[in-house]
Amino acid sequence: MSRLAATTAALAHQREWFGTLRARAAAGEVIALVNADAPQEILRAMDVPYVVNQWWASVVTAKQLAGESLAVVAGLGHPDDSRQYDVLALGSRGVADQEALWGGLPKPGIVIAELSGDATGKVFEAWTDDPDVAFFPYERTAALPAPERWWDEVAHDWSSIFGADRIALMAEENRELIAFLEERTGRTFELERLRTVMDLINEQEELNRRTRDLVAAARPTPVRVTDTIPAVMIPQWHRGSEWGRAAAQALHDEVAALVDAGAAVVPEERVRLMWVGRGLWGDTALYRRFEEELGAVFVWSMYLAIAADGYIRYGDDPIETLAARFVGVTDLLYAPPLAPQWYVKEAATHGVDGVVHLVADDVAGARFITLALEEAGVPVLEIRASNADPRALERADVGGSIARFVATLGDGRGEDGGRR
Amino acid sequence: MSAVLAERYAARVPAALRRAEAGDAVVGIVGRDVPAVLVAAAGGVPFRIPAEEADTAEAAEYLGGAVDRAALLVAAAMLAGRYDALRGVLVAHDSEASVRLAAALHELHRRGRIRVPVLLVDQVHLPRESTLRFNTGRLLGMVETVEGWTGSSITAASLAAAWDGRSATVAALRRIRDARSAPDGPTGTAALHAYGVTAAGEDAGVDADGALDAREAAALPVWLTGSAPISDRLYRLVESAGAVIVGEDHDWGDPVASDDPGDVVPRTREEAALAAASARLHGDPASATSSMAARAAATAAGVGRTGARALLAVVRDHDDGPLWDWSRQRAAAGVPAVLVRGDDPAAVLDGLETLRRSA
Ligand code: SF4
Ligand code: SF4
Repeated sequence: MSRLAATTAALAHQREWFGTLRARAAAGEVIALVNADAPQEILRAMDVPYVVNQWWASVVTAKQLAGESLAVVAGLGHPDDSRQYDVLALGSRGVADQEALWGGLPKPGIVIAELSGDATGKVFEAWTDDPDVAFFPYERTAALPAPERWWDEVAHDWSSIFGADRIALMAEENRELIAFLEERTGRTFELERLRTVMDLINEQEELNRRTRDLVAAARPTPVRVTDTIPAVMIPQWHRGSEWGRAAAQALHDEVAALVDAGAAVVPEERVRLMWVGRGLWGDTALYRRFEEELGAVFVWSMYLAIAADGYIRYGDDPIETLAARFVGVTDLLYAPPLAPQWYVKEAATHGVDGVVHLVADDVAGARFITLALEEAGVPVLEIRASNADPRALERADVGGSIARFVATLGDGRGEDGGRR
Repeated sequence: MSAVLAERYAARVPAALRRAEAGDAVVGIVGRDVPAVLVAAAGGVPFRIPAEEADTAEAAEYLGGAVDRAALLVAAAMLAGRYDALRGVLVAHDSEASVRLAAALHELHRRGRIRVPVLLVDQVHLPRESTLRFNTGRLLGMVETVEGWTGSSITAASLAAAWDGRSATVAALRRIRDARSAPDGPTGTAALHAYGVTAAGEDAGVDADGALDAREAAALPVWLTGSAPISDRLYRLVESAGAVIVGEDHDWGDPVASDDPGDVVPRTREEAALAAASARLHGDPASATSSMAARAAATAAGVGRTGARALLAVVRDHDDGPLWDWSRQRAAAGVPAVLVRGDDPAAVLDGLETLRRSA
């Protein structure tokens, strides 16, 4: 089965959009660089052109220019072995071959990030070595013990999931960011614009939710995870635009048509798998091998699932509602007990036979996810490695362990008919 | 006599555990950002848990391997039941490692794997009004939890007693801090012991005449930065090699004396929480929670105040903040500077040798 049209369209749009952004920067507009975990909606509402740091890092990595970018960082006097992914954008501006990098990242006038970890703030502060660049930080507050089944409540009752004072803090920071942007860009903020952006996002994520539900219910699985990831993620970077919503609609319609037509990634689907943790989605050969040799297919990735369950927020005050979207989105993926119970739910709704859990050692809370899945009767293969380092993965023999794991699942399935 | 102080330092954990077993409401604290004064006002005996050598294999499963060893060691002690006699443990949000530690311990408690309840004290660090308001609210939440643990409540009298105690401690710690700048001042090891003993909830008075070992006149005065050391080993090593640590910016040292809630006794818990939150926000910057600019300024000020003639950084694995601070700190310090990664004693001694040659 070939790549989704939605994926091809998203990749094309990304090129076109970046060309426009470069042109606006060249014409003298202030550009912002924003970390994925900080609110981008205010920038969108004020029409401040922005680039998401993690997306740009993925471009640098895909062009094999990460090593050179890190060498530039070291040349600036900063460490090249700390928060490497976060700092690629900074280093990429000094890379010799800017043409390879889509013409190059324009110099941002504003950088925005949440103070996650010990050094993210310093990575962004490093941009201010150049006095033309200003840094706006957001606090990162910590997860609270939350009620069960947050995914049923979070769209409306976000305050009880994340805590009113965390949301109040971030809402105040949103207001500070608005003042900061008005001063730096000369633009004015309009609350009604933000309201529209928030509505568009809810519509986009509701579409993602319907797509996720289609995929969860379909037997056999109609679409490759490697295809849905870019088709979900690129529109996520454009959250709040008409294009983003239309792209989510197109993905939904395409998946729905595939389901109606009875399309299958693997016609003889024998084992349904869920991948938890960072993916190795670039290594398509790895996944094809399981499909062809073992009839095993990965039916789930966190990207579509968190878009479906993690982003929808309804509320009267768009500034507060925006805070409620961002204040705990990482907690939902990693913090116990929020994250473990969610993976268990997703495993059940997708009818998976087993879970492959890649545990990078810089990720906290992974053990509790494995424990919760196992306690729910879902077999888990835990692979402990850092996927930032391909050599570590080779040593971990990812392909071999998954093949052996799948073999054990195949056996179990004959007896109980599978866990669907 | 300093031998007495060294003994009290070495015995501070068993001493606190004995008090807890005897029925005192001892409350464990991990990190500098939990205000001991509020714990005391809420009827607890604040005891700051140090990292002690232990097997960390199981702890690493829960926290992830790439985490500062100090946090792994505390987790290992909790898993081993060492602190089971405590009423509860409060973990500061003072680094990524602490957040992981708190989340893991809390979940392990929920699952029944550890006995002691654990609360993350979410204090964040931007110098903004909104941050101060948030922190104050979280401290009020912490007070309520501690009151539940101790079975007592904050009263006017408990606030007065706690504030008087904290003022006396801050005054004592500041006398020690200031004495360290003098040519015949105390050793860094003695200062570290004094700070450690007070952090364990024992009285001040550690700076009484003659309590602190004086340094050798010829020792090279060094400002220490980098990771907060585990135990006093690094201090003994540095000071056995002809240097003296006259000041530091980690959270077992001078910075604890900078968190001063003031002498005015608050009348209500709200006032108390606000004073404590604001004291920490105005205290010395810590690497994991401050800007590089603030850290560099603090280094320059510390070096200037103490007359340090060299800057030594010792940075453990998985403690990223100090690595980022370094280039600006070194530029701001204006004295010879060396950064050592890891904690291999030979590397530290090499670094000192380099400093001595250029100082
Ligand atoms: S899935 Fe969500 S949290 Fe993860 S990178 Fe994408 S947008 Fe960010
Ligand atoms: S809320 Fe209290 S009782 Fe429940 S798990 Fe946390 S510390 Fe334990």
